[in-house]
Amino acid sequence: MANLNEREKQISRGFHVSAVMLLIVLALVMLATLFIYTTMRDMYRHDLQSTEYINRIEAEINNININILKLEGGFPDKQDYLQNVGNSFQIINEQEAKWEKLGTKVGFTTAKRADILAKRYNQAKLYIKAYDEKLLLMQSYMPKLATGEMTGKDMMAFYKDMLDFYTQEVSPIQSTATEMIKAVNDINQLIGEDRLTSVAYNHGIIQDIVILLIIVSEIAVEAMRRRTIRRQRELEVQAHEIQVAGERLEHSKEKMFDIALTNILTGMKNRYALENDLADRLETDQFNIGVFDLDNFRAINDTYGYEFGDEFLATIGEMLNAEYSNVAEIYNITGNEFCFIFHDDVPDSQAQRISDKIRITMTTPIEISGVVAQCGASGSIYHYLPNDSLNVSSLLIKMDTTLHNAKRNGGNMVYTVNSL
Amino acid sequence: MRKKNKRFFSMLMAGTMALSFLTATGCSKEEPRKVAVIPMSTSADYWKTLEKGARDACDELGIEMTFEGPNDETDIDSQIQYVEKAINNKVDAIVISPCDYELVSAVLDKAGNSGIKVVTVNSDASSDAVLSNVATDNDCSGAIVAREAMKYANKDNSVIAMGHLQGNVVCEARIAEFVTTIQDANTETAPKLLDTVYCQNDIDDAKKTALNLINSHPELSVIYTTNELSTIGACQAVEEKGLKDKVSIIGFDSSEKEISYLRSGILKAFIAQSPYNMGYLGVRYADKAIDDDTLPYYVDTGAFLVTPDNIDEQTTQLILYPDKF
Repeated sequence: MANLNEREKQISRGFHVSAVMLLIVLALVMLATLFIYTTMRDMYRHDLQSTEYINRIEAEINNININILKLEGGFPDKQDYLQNVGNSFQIINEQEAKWEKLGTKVGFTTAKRADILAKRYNQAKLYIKAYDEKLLLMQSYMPKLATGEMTGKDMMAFYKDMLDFYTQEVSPIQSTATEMIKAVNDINQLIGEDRLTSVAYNHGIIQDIVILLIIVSEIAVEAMRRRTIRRQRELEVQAHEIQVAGERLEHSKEKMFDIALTNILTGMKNRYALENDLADRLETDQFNIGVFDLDNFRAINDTYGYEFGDEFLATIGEMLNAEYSNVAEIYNITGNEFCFIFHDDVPDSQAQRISDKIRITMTTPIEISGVVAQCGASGSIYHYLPNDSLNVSSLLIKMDTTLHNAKRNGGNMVYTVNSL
Repeated sequence: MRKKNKRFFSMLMAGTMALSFLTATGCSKEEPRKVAVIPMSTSADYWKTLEKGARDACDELGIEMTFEGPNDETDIDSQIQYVEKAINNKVDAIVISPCDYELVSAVLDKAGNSGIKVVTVNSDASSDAVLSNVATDNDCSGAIVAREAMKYANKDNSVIAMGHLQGNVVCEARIAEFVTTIQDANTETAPKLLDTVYCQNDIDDAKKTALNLINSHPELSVIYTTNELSTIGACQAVEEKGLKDKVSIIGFDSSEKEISYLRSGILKAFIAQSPYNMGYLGVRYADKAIDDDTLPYYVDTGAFLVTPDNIDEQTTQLILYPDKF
């Protein structure tokens, strides 16, 4: 039984542990999902801003170039163009500051990619600076442009010089700066793609964990189920065994009881059975009871031996049973003494008559193994009324006393207890 | 029994889903693009810098790169073999610095016909397969040098160009605009232009030629040399004569030796190209070509005049040592 409790405890502990584990893992999965979501959101914002700043820088470089080309082409409003160039560089500086503040490292970026991005950005920035410096050198041409004093051939030569300087020294730097800043954007985009892949990968892993968890818990539940069923079957088997054992015990108890209440020789109920049957009736019932005894039965034992005597008694018992069991309950209370409790439907007068018949039956000559023997018989009959006796013993003493009176007065008679 | 089956199928389904997720997350990578970068030679620092640029671009774009080429810049046959190899390897694009404008064209045509995108860097080829050329504009270099040369010479002086190899396309291109610019300059202030001389792309020959020029032209104030070896030879001549204040060398390319001559004042300036940017932009354009984007036919990566005044500036350092940034 202790073993069983231990096992039940084990099973319930198993359920608790798996429930707690499940909760923990679910919580972790939720946290991980939340983490991925927030990181993705930050990444998205970061990439959006980064792209915005870089695009603006690229646009401003183009803007500067357009203004410079207008200057080269001798368009009017030269100061406006210069002003525009200055403004554009101002904007570029602002965008650069914003970009640098944004930083390159946000979730799901490999350090290598971040380094590559930082390197390319740095080079792009330096080329933009170089472009600015070259344009400052170009401004040495500006005062002459501003005065507008030149004419004809001088003017032509001046513009040619300025154009040469632009194409030979400024333009390559401008195009390199543009290419570099485009490259920064490309890397940004690749990082974005990297991140998406990475997010998908991480998400996939979490999914895998969840699925594995489901499988494991399925298996665990299945194992628990089988274990519980097995346990239940064991219990059923045990209960059945207990029931069988109980039945057997009951059976042997009954048997023992039967044995205790039966006269071994005649197979009839004995004195204990009489006491058992009668005890409860003494206070409440009225009934007719008769006690009969073979007269001088000892002579038969002495003459033919105990075996013969036993056989003789058994035969008498059988006869009594055969003839009177329908009118009375018959007990073989001692060796040759029989007690009859008449059924309630047998009237008093009839009981009296039946008593005589019983006495006569008991005196029937009996043949055993070729030897015929006969004994006289006496009896006492008593019409019992409620509370006549305190117990069965005192009742029997009354009956026996009357019986012995009958024997003393010659035997072969039935005396009535009341008649005394 | 039915219940058992149901359970079994739910497990089976879960297992299949798990597997599909694992495969979906594990097998989503595409084949990387393959680009063959073929320089004129793999030995000089110049080409190693070009390789760095190409490598950086490949790293940024996730491209698989090979960098193979002849040992000698004149080994055209060997370079053609490398192009053949790239075609056989079914690369997506070839970035090449052709050893010869005409002789490498046939094999580049073949590459183009096999669907391989071709971008030339540093030098060009006549092939129609070339989608874009990323290089220093040699005309511009000559003009820039001419402008600088006139700072060291007046009408009483003379200037001269010493080409590294007569008839070489690059050499002649570098000289042509120098000559034109000096000739077109204001006749009142411009120095006299002497006839171009050549050395045999050899330091000793360059030194000898320079010494001859110095000896025979006492009014000579500027020698323009068109590559690294001719520049070093000319510097050795001026150093030997101790005439660094009288004869100014303006050279080409940016080797460590030249940089030290610049710092010692013998070399007044040199034109630095940007092999890093050539490699870098060459690969980027090749990548765009694979996407069938339209490319500029020609990109000038610039000729940067490096002088003792600007050599320590950040932007000059960026050109000379791109790897530091």
